[in-house]
Amino acid sequence: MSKDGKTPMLDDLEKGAWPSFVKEIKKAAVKSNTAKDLLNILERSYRDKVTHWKHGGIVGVLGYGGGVIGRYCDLPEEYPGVAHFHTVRINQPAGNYYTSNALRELMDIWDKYGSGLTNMHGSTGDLVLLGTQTDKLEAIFAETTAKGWDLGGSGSCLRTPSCCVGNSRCEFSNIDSMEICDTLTHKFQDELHRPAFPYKFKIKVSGCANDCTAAIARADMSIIGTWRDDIRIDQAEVKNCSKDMDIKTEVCDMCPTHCMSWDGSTLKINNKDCTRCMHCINRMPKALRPGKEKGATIMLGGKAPIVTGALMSWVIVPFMKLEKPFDNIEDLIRKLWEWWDEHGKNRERIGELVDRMGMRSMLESTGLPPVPQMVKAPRSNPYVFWSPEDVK
Amino acid sequence: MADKPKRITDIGAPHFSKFLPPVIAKNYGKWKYHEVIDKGTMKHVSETGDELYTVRIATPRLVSTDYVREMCAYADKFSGGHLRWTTRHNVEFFPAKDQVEPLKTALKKDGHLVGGIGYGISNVVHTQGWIHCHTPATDASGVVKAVMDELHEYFTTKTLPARVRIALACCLNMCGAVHCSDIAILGIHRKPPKVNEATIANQCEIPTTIASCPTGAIAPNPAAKSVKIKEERCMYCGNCYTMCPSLPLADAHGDGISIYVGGKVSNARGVPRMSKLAIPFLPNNPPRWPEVVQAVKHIVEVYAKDARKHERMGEWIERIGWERFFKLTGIPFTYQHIDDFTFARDTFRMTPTFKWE
Amino acid sequence: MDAAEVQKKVYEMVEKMQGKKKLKPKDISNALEAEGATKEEVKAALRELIDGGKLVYSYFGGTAVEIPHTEGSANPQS
Ligand code: HEM
Ligand code: HEM
Ligand code: HEM
Ligand code: SF4
Ligand code: SF4
Ligand code: SF4
Ligand code: SF4
Repeated sequence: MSKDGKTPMLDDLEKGAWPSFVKEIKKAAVKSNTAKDLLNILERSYRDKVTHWKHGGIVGVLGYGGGVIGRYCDLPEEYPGVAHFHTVRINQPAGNYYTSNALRELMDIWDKYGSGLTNMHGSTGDLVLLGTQTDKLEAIFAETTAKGWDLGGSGSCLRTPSCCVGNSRCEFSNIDSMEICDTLTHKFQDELHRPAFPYKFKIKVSGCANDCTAAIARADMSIIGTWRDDIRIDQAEVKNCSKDMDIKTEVCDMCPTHCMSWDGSTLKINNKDCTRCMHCINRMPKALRPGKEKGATIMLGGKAPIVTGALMSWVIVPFMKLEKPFDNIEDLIRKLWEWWDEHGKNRERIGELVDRMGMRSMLESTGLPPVPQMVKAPRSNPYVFWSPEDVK
Repeated sequence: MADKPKRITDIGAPHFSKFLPPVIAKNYGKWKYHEVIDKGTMKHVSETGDELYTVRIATPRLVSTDYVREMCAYADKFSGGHLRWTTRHNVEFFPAKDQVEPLKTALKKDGHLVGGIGYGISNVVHTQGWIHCHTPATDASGVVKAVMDELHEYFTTKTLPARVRIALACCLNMCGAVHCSDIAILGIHRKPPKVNEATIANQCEIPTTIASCPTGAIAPNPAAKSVKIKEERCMYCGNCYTMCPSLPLADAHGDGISIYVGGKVSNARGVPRMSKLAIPFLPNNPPRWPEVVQAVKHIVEVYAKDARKHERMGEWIERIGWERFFKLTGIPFTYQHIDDFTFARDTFRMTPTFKWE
Repeated sequence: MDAAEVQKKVYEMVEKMQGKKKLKPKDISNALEAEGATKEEVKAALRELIDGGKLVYSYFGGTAVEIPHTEGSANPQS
């Protein structure tokens, strides 16, 4: 803060067409000293070009190992309003649908105890309430749980699962992504709130290969909807589509497996060659629909770079039917956790453990058979490890 | 103590069925097809014949409770009290057919940007930056605001050959998992942490601080009740600062922004792929980060001109080759572009077949 | 092992390592399993101690279990 409390650099970010977060902080600052000092310390960061936050590792609510991220500022005398600036993660409802009444209840609680600022939502999916003090945490927890909300995950635990809109609004969906997400969240409450894993574990559910939740890039377990039978074609609608687009160049030629043909009146798909990439269906949603034998491909290992480099998830189960009560996927996840728990080092994500121990160890302990769908190609190096049983 | 109310725990999130608009509850799993009406409006049609309209606007992600209440008021007036947030920080309303235009008019009148659907730039997924995190190498909200002030027309009206997903993470922990975006804006540190000798003995546990470093770059300095950083080992992850507030990593001159391009998560056509380094370093120049804004805008414009329809940034670059990407964009190729970390060898060209430019 | 004894051992182990090594729930479990306790017993003891506020979870990049104390970051003047 300059001595007079002016924030010229941030004020500049109130201008322009894109919605301004500075305006939002200023709105909250009318009611909250925490928000007011956030504005001041942020202006200071803009001048100094460095952050002014320190990590807080021992703040939380009684009994839980996650859901609160501790923050302290490094200049508490100058900015007392943000001496503490902890974040509360509220587990979002699957699909991020709300009613205005439910949201207003949450906002009222937040105005009472916090800065009045929120991220709707954080990267993992939680509804993030930004900026409160240690002594308010229990009260926030009591009032939000009384209204039916619970905290999300943080720490070496299951992080808050998230999903795409799936069946609720998307005709491409091959699985009930919201119901799966909600069910797993409730089955795994203990793993979510009481960290006991080597490191974090994320689950994301996308209803089709468009992967709107970026599950393959951002989740240790990526559940991606798919189908086994033939793409459903409405030839009359294909003809209709051909009025607005060049089906040959925009659809057939861009099919990665070159399994489609269009002669001006009939669209043919060689479904045996189709890899269900979604391109043609995205182009002609009225004319093409996924098949009817639906389920999910289960993939494992995605993570951000820290420490050995970013990974994207790979196939471990090519096809799994996913129907209520979803015991089969629960069972698989629990087996994977057991294997990871037994062999994982501190801060080793499950994908890195597969890297270190090999796929075989993971497959044997979960009872999954090796299949060609798991690899882009078999190995080319001849350093094959044989176990005594193999050689018998 | 005796009459203290029992704490409620482990109830999880409320079930989504409480929040679904009636038309969605009724047609759950029965959607037949959808049409994109314009950049801010979609129509979904059910097998039952019911229709669902969706109107989408951009939020700044960091919002006040009053902003949320404002959204609630639109929802009450136009959308039966129902609304949702998308994974990219947009808000969606579900008006009845005759309410679509009145809602859009009201939103636009209040200065909201309606758009984000289809081939263009949707909202920018980003992290906390100087607003809340302890290890950022740059701010998040401010950079996003500056970039999107320049590119907002791609959200509301202008189209591109395909979707361009932009994401920002303010350090290489990448909370935002930016590594699979068409354009990834990534904060980077270039200097190891500095030891604050005056405070470390009081603030930090030396053994746990040493153990926190994933590369073993921290050695004890028992004489000074402090530690030494083996600078050549440090990869600027900030783990030590998480553990010990006397090892600040941030540095006004050392910190800045790098740009990665060509990633995607969708499996359509080509497989998902990671973003790759285009620009190793740009300085932090708040409040508007002009170098970063120009660089992003330039890459978008070169892509818009040269890519074929439906071609994502990464598919375009793979078709023309990275050699030509650097030629077309005029971005200089440097030592930093050549990988020297764990998966480096996979990126070397093991064939004499390449383009000259 | 009897529940009170497991709790006592867990607490003593955390007390001994406080400030020297961040103990993960798994480290504690491994150590006590070697002394004859079961995984479930250790888990129950941890939960009892944590729900009672005698131990807390901490997070510094990975989760650990510690005795409640004021951390460096919360300590402005030093
Ligand atoms: C099943 C595994 C493999 C078998 C059976 C195999 C077999 C052979 C044979 C018979 C030759 C010809 C040797 C000669 O002409 O004297 C050869 C050459 C060669 N192999 Fe392999 N190879 C295998 C794996 C690999 C792998 C994994 C690599 C490298 C990634 C590799 C790289 C080469 C190279 C570079 C040559 C040419 C060497 C030269 O001409 O000096 N081979 N291999
Ligand atoms: C035309 C058909 C498509 C429809 C109806 C559609 C619908 C949607 C919807 C409703 C969301 C929001 C999901 C959520 O918030 O949970 C979304 C997100 C997303 N979609 Fe799609 N999508 C389509 C095609 C695609 C394609 C072709 C791609 C990639 C090439 C794609 C990539 C994404 C990504 C990355 C997201 C996440 C980010 C966001 O919320 O914008 N989508 N899509
Ligand atoms: C350039 C040198 C080094 C690099 C790049 C390196 C890299 C790493 C990485 C990435 C990890 C994390 C592994 C994981 O999270 O699973 C690790 C862990 C470890 N490193 Fe190193 N290391 C280096 C040198 C050393 C040296 C010289 C020592 C010992 C004197 C050492 C001891 C350890 C130990 C004990 C761990 C395990 C830490 C734990 O489990 O928490 N490292 N190293
Ligand atoms: S992932 Fe597929 S099913 Fe889910 S919202 Fe996106 S397009 Fe629809
Ligand atoms: S889904 Fe993909 S692979 Fe299958 S036919 Fe369509 S474009 Fe081709
Ligand atoms: S990306 Fe890095 S700096 Fe940004 S919020 Fe995440 S950990 Fe913090
Ligand atoms: S920043 Fe990371 S790599 Fe560098 S000394 Fe700290 S912990 Fe080690």
